[in-house]
Amino acid sequence: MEDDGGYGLLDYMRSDEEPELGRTVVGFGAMALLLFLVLYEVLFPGHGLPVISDIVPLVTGVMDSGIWFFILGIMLGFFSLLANILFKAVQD
Amino acid sequence: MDTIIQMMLIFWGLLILFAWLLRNGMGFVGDALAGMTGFMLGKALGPGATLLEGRSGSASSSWIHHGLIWLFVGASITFVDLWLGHSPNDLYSLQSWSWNISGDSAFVPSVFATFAGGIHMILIGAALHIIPRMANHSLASEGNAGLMALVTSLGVFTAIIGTQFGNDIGNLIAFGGNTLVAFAALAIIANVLLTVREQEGRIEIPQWFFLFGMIGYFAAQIGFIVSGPGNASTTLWMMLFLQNGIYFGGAAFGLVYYAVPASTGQPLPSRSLIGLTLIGTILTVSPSGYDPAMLGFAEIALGPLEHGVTEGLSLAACGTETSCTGTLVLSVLMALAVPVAFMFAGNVLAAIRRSGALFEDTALTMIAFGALMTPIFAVASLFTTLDSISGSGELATAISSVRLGSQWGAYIPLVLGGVLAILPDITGRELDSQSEGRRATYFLAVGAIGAFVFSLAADFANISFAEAMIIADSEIEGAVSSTASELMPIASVLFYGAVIGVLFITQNVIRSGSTGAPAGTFEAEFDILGPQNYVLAGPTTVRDLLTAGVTLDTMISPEDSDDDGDHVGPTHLSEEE
Repeated sequence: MEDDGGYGLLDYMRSDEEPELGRTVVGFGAMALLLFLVLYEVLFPGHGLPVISDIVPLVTGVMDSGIWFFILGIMLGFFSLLANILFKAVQD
Repeated sequence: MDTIIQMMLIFWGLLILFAWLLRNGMGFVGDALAGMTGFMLGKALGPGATLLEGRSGSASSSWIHHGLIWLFVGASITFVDLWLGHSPNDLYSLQSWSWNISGDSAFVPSVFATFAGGIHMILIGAALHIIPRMANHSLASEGNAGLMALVTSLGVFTAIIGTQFGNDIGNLIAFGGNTLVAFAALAIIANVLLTVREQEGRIEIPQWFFLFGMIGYFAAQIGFIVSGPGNASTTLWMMLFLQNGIYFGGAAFGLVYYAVPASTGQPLPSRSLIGLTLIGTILTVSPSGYDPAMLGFAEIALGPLEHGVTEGLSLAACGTETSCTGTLVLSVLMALAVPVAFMFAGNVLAAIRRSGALFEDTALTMIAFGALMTPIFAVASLFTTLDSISGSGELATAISSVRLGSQWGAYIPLVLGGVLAILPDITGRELDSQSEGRRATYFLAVGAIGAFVFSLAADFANISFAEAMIIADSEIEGAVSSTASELMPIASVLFYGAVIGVLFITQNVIRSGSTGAPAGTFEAEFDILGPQNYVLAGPTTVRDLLTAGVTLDTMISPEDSDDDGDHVGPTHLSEEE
């Protein structure tokens, strides 16, 4: 009988698709950012974020609706498509 | 004769005439027409005909790529339309560019981009591959077909721009764009008919689906024009129903019926069900996709034709003094469309289930999702459509949600999955990443169904709110339920998942042209219902093996086996083990 290394796990319960380190770091980074924002709000309630809060008012009246964030995502996607097409054309 | 019965007889008559001509030829007239059409498609275009190379498959590939990009644009505009549904003035800042986009002004462009651009171009791209392949003959004019993809894209773009003017000139521009799309479609029909003319064997069922779809689209328009403006309030909607069912529905069925066996290498379970689906698609009227809001699109598409229609279809109620034969006929034909959806879904799902490809292959997973949802939305559409056209109106607020769900939750996954399945055969390249494709499928599925569910919940909240106002005897115009106003933003944000899903798929397809593995590189690993190979790490029980997903056909090999390649099974947690 094979030694299971003391884990006591059945074979099929073992992972065979470990996530890449890079993705794990990005995941932890996102969680850390979220935690930072929560902590900042707890420590400095009612205060805007440094730098960011100074920039945001500059676009007040233009991008004061949540839809603009989604539209930015769509534009990003569209330009990534365009970049892919151009890359393919240049490569050919 | 009742208008509805007359319209249906014209439609069926034209399709029967077309089928008869196609099977029996047109003698010397056919030869003359073929020669002239061939000339029109090629040399008559002058330098235009040599603009594109005539490499085999290039036209099909071009149409599909254009279609996918338009589908992404269509999904994006549909998202904006949904958002403006609950916050109509959120894009007011664009007025500084004289671009007034508020309320429902994004609806008509979303229809143009999604259907005239996305779905239409994908279906034509599939037809340009499937029809010549089954005819065992190359396309009559590959260069012309490729050129028509550019013309169609130009037409759709012009139509979308035209809709943003919001005046008569803009409508005329949009009509011009739509006319370009129609002309390109006529050139494609001529091209395809010339190809089928060279076919020696009998015409196969997927080919019939496409051919009936293309001819049926125009047959419905002829029926509308022949019926005259006096009957337009009925025939306009009948035309849209028939075009929706025979072209968009029928061609999608043909595509999937070809794509599933081509992808799995196994025939579909029932040939008679395939035949019944074809007959059912022609004889019945699909209730899916009906929405009185489509009038805005129809007005632009029909342009200068004065029809005087101002509202959705309203049928005569049965009474002692009024004849309701047409109402009964239409209701029965719509109800009969539901079993057709069930026949299609049963056949396709059984084939995919048998192949074991579900959740393994992007295209087949997407087809399975669409096929599963098709009968569900057919039933839902039957309820909302009949409720609306009978004048009951109890579900009037839910009709847009059901249209959205049936289009993005059932129909579009079917078409996307079908085209992804045949794409390696067209371009010679496999999809760049199957895992990314599956992820995109989940995004699309969760986005579309989530948006549908929340949108429907908001609609029912509004229905309750309206009933409460009636009971309280207070009428506040434009008031919406507070619950609905909370649910609608969630629906629109969830639909963003569908936008991302389409984006990922389009990126995947475009990348596959340069980095995808050559077609046929990967042997299917899913041709049994479970993993093909399983590496045994040590003694275990049959129960554990079955829990791990192995089947009677799985090859079990010991850990030290030389075959370390593609296997499904546990890996060691560390080298020391």
